[in-house]
Amino acid sequence: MDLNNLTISQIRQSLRQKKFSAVELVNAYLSRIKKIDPKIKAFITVTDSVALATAKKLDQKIKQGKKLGRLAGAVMAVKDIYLTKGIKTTAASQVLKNYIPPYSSTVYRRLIDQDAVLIGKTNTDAFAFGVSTENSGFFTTKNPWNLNIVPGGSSGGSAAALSANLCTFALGTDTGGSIRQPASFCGLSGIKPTYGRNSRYGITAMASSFDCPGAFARHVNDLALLTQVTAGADSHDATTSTTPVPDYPHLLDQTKLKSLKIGLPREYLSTGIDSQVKKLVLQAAATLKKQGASLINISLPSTDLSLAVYYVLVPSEISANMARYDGIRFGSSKKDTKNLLSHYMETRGKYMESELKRRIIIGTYALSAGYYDAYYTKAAKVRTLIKNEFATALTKVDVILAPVSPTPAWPIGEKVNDPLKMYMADVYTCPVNVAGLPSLALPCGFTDKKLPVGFQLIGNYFEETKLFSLGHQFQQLTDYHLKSPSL
Amino acid sequence: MSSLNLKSLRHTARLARIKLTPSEEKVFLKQLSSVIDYFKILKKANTKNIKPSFQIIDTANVVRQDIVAPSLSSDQVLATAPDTQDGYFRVKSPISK
Repeated sequence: MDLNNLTISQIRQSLRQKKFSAVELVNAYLSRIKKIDPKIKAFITVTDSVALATAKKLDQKIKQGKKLGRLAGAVMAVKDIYLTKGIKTTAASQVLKNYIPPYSSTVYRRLIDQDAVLIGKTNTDAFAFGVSTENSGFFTTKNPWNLNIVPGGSSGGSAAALSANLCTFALGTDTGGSIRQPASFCGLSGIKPTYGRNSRYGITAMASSFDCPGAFARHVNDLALLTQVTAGADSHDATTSTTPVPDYPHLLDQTKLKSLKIGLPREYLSTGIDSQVKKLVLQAAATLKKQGASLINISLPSTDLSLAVYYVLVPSEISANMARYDGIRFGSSKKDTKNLLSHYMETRGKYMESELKRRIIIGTYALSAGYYDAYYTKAAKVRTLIKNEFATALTKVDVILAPVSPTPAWPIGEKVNDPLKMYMADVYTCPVNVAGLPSLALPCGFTDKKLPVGFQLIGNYFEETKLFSLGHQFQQLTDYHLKSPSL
Repeated sequence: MSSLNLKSLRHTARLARIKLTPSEEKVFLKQLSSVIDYFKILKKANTKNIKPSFQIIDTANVVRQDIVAPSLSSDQVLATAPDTQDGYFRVKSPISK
């Protein structure tokens, strides 16, 4: 039995039937990490002793016939911006390179409470500011499908780890596409839930009105289970929703493809899209059509403004959130500074990565006197327009089908000197965050250079059930999600 | 003409409490000018009578009972600080001599 390629429910069942022990499972993953990770560099920290200790406890539980958590034995890789109590959390930045948090993030805690096993903390662009992991303060992660290519980002370490079968599932965050885009680049499924569905508590803040924690898995049914465990109100995050969490895993057949209306936004499929990506995305739409769904052309006219809205509002929120780093209460701190002001300026100047500085400065600029109305308020108004356009479209169709990224993953280094070009990679994902809608990314084929391509299904607020149901049915009809890179 | 010049970049970096090196100033000026110039695309949107969205959920003023609950101890909090003294964070003088 290949222990590195099981679903969450297969693991739980196998542990119960004593086909293997949790320690054997964790050791299988650890030895694969030892062999493969030096090539792809997905992990910042491998938590081998924590993983083995958790596995031993789990085996004890099984031996004593105690009730097992819903994720028993599932081995997880966690993006290193999720705080894990007592375990180093760096945010992939020199700012927090030695930070050991005194508390845990809610999403991580809810997964641990269901007996998931933490195997390591994964690489990301520093503080999740980026689309390729090239902005990491430590190193760049490689795409397991081609080691010269980026894995996507910011949650690129999590995607690469799962794609290389170094974990059962992985956690990411999606502020402008940071789960869906690396999922697409690495041939995985990924869920960006509705804003407020998963708690943001204990995750380093990027843009508080955009940030969405979520998961990566191969199979949509695993994503449905994970989201059911993580979602729901949290007293530590006032923006979490009290909308009841549906029993996603048992509703996977609920949405019928027959007579389902799928919207294809023309703005996402006209100019600027790679022809191979377009072909594969339309092929995915045709697969659903064959089962009785109808494809309807729709328009989201302000799509071309989304990126500008995103890159005004997100850096604005970043500049406010990152103002909390003073090098006094936590984090790296410059010695021998003259006074408090020079301490702030020199500490932040020395330890922050370039992309942190760029975004903080853009945000500070957009919020400063004289520019506030022209940039921040204007962008917030266009945000309303974008939100309304999605709302109108979703009265005509049940779900929107779109590409995740206009291109397949690109060579490492290609865009590092041109931030604006790098930002363009978010063009089809960030509008969804601007509106706060849920979106599920799924693999739909490979380019002629054998790079994975994904598409996304965008639903109305809190309609994750529909997305999981459609995604699950799509995976019954296709086998792209079962492919693994040869390493 | 770009909206950003060296003077406004330096001013903004100071507001953001970030010390930039001369080589950073040079690179950032070029990079950030092109980003800020790109924002001008927003001008073409008609936003007359449109209210701004500062967030996308309808929730407002989430309140709870004011009940004392356990929180981190001061030892735990101070453990992450680079410099402490007598149970306090130690900071540089805010006033220059």
